[in-house]
Order: sequence, then C-alpha cells, then structure tokens
Amino acid sequence: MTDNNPPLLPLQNMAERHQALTPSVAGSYLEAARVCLDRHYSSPKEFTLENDKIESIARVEWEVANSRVQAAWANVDDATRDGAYAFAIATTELLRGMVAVHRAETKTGADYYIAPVGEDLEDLEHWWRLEVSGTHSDKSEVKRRLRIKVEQARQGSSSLPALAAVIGFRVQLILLQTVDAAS
Amino acid sequence: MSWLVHHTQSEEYASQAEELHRQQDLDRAASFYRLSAEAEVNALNNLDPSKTRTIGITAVSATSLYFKAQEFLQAKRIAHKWLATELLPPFAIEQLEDLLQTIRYEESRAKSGIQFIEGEVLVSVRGGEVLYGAAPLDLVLRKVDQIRSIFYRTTELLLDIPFRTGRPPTQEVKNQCDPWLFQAAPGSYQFEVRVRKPKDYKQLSVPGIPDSDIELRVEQITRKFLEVVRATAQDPEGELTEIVPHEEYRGAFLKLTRELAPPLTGKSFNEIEIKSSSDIESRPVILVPNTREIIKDVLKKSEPELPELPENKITELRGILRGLQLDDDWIEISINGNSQKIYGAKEEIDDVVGPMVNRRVVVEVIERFDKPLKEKYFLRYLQLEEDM
Repeated sequence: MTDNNPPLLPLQNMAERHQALTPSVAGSYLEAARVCLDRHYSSPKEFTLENDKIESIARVEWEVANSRVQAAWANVDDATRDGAYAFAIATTELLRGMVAVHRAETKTGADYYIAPVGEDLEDLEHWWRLEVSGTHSDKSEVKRRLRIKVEQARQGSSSLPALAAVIGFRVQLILLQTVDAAS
Repeated sequence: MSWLVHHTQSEEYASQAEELHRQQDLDRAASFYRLSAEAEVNALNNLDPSKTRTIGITAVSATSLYFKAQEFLQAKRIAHKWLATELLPPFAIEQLEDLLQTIRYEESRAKSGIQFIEGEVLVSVRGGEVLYGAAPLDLVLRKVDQIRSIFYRTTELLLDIPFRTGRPPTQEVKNQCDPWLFQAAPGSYQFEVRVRKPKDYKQLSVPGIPDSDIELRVEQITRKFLEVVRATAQDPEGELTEIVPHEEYRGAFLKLTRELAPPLTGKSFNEIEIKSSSDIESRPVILVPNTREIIKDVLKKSEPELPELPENKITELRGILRGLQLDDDWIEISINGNSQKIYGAKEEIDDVVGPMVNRRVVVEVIERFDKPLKEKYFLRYLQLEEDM
C-alpha cells in the first residue's frame, strides 16, 4: 500500500504528550531511536505499520546522531530496546490515539501502561498494557517476536487489556497487535 | 486520599515484600504483604461503584496479598465480600474463585503437616479430544505416568545414581522423590505436581555423597525437572548436553519427552504446556506435535548408521505389544494372534516401553534376510498405534 502524503511518526517532543515520559527519558529514547535508524538509513524514511494487520505508512524523520551520541549508545541491545520504546509509544499515539501514562512493574507482561488521550488517569478503567520489542533482523524475526510478545502479554500477572508492538528497524516495519485474552 | 495514592502505596509495600521473600526473610515479607493488602483494601474503599475494572483488579490484588501474608481468613473474607456484589467483571470473578481454591488447599496442607519441596509443575493438556477441565482418563493417566517417570529420572540424575535400564526405580529413590498430584484451576485440562519432602533423608545413602548433600540435591528436583524438560524440548543438542552431560540419561530424557509430546495427528490432544506455577517469569515449555519429530531426528543422529545392504529392509509391523525383556534385548508383539520377537531392544528404556504393553503398537523394524525367520526383525522405532 502506498500513500502520497503519509503522516509523520510523532517521535519529537514526546514528553509534552506522554505523562510517563519525562523530558530526559523521552530525549534518551529518541537518541536511541536515532542511533538505530542511522545503522541502516538516512532521514527521512517510510515505515510500514500493521495495526491489527491493517497496513498503513508513516514517515520517520530524524537528525543524524553525532559521534558522542553514537558512543553513548554503543550497546546495541540498550539502543534497540529504548529506541523501540520511542517507536512503539509514538505508534500507539498515531494509530490508537493513546499515550504512555505509567512505566510498568516487572511481571505485569508489559513495558508501559497507555491510555486514550484525555481520559481520567486516577484509576485503571482506561489503562492498557503495552509490550514492546525491537530488532534489526529480517521480517520473519519481527513476526516471530510479535508472537512471543503477544504470548508474554497474555501470561502477565495483569488483567488489563494489552497491545504488543514490535519494531523492525532494518526492514522498516512496525507491528501493533491487540492481545486477545483467550489463550 | 484517592485510589491511586493507596494503590501506589500498596505497590511499594508489595515490592519490599517480594525483595524480602527473595532473601528468605519470610516473616518480614509476610508483614509487608499484610501492609500492602491493607493499602489495597483502602484503595478499594475509595472507588466509585462504576469503576468495575479497577474494582475487579484491586479486589483480586487485595485477596492475593492477604494470601501471601498467610492471612487466609482475611483473604477469604475479601474474596467473598466482592464476589457477593454485582460489581465484578468476569475475569475478576474467575480469578477470585481460583484464589479461594488455592487458599483452601494451602489451609488443608498447613493442617496436615505434610511438607513439599520448593516449586510446583503445572501441566496443561489441550486440543483434540480434551475439553475445558476434562480429558479422557486413559490420556491423563499416561501423561501423569510419563511426568512421574521424568521426575524419577531427574532424581536419579541429581543423585549420581548409575543409569537404570529394564527395571523400575528403587524404593529408596521413590522415598526421596514422592510426586503428588493436585487439581489445578480448570483451563483446558490441567493438573499440578509437587514433590513431597522425604520424611527422612537418611533413608537413602549414595556412595560418595554426604547425607547433607543428598538433602540439597533432593530439594532441587522440581527446578531440575523443569530445566531438563525445557532444554529437551527447546535445545536438545545444545543446552540439554550442557545440563545433562551423561549420554544415557540424555537419551532417556529425549525419549520420555518425545512420548510426552502430542502425537503428529493431534487427534487425542495437540499441545501440552509445562511450567512452574509459582514463578511467573519462568516461560512455559510447550510441546506440540512437531516436538516429537524434532526429538526423533536428534535421537536418530545418535544411532549407528544403517549399512545399505541388500539383505536389510526397513519395514513396519503392527500388533499388540505382549512382552518385553530389555535385558535380553527383545520385545514381543502379537500380530493377528502370532507372536513375533523383535530384537535390538536393549537401548530402549522400561519407562518408555513398559506403559505400551497390551496396547496396539506400530514398530518400525529392519528386516534382515540374512537371519532365520524368528530372528529377522530388529527394532528401530516403537510407538502406540493411536499416536499415528
């Protein structure tokens, strides 16, 4: 599917919209994402998004990471994990109108709690879990990771509904899937 | 104060309780779980009745925290109180009912004084003829028997007992590894296995292992069981070799796990999941029909290459397995009422072949034309006909 004017993936100024991201956390995640993108491409680039298997395209723009940023994020695993957080949170904002409201505790089967923009966040009524993974491997690995993440979210100790997101930096693919409660 | 403030406070107490539990400071852990539960009850009291999802999650959390604090009565009170309302969403009703069942079991276990070694193994059988909470008795008995066999082999491995062929485990080993079956909350067909703590570790003396070391090793049975099954199913040529360097034991675990896995047809069942029910971070081991084929291929690699001779032919026999004498290297099947011995069986193990006696089997054999009629069949692979 092609789109002549695809929307921009909202990676910039994330702390202004996502309560769970302070300016320093959001800045850090964005740096990680830039390092991941620089490994394969130069800005801008189009990514394919699959939202519960419905395809669309988003444009990704970023600044090249300078050598200091590259050195700070020289650990590929850290950069991939944190870069994937930035992409996954931006994708749920773009596709689902949801924002990150809280970092998740371990064992919950999630990385972040998200909720629709503008909802009351004083209780769990509108909270969802977001389980995230990132990879620089091929498309089959991105799909395999999604299956694992969906299963992980199902097995988590939380009863909140969940989304799983997997970012394929090299193959320009973002998969977002609602986790069905049925096992 | 709002629900969020109390809930956050509860999370902080729970986090401290978990840390103390990890450090085995169980009394202080229980105190923090109690504080965490009380904060969660306060959170519940601050919720509007329209917030049903939040009420459900918090009621389950409060009950579970009182249970972890060993405050069984209080845990039951909270669960019953909220189950009696019409405010709970279905997931919370289900989880509270499961918790009540777990609490009842823990209460009865505490009263009996029976102790179990750490860890539980939760086994779920799914698909095929298996219903939610019900399964054919024959299938369940076989799976329970296979799980028990893997527990015994694991115990023998941990205790450095020489590899056993053609006979059941000794009474001494059974005294150290006494698996008990528990009913688990329904979901497909599930059961839970725990190993009873031996009354006396000194009943078993193993040359070269001090009594205190035997106790330490027996305490590891459940953990090791899960480790072995995981490695056998997921990485039979890598991780399994690392954790079970002994070749014969490795072969036994491969054969036992192959039999535990669903048959290729998936007719009777098509998935078996094994996991620790106490450690949520532990990923389940899932055996699917393809697991059998993968393990078969691994086992084939360790078999001697069959020379391509004109006098050898691979063929298949079907009949009822009537007997076995593994020490003498043969099994016997009845084909249309006629007995036929099949040789080359000494590599088989009693706990895999034994349960197939008096059942219809399919035997892949090498037919050797250079041998007399009665001695011409040599075993390659044996399986139940119903698994084909």
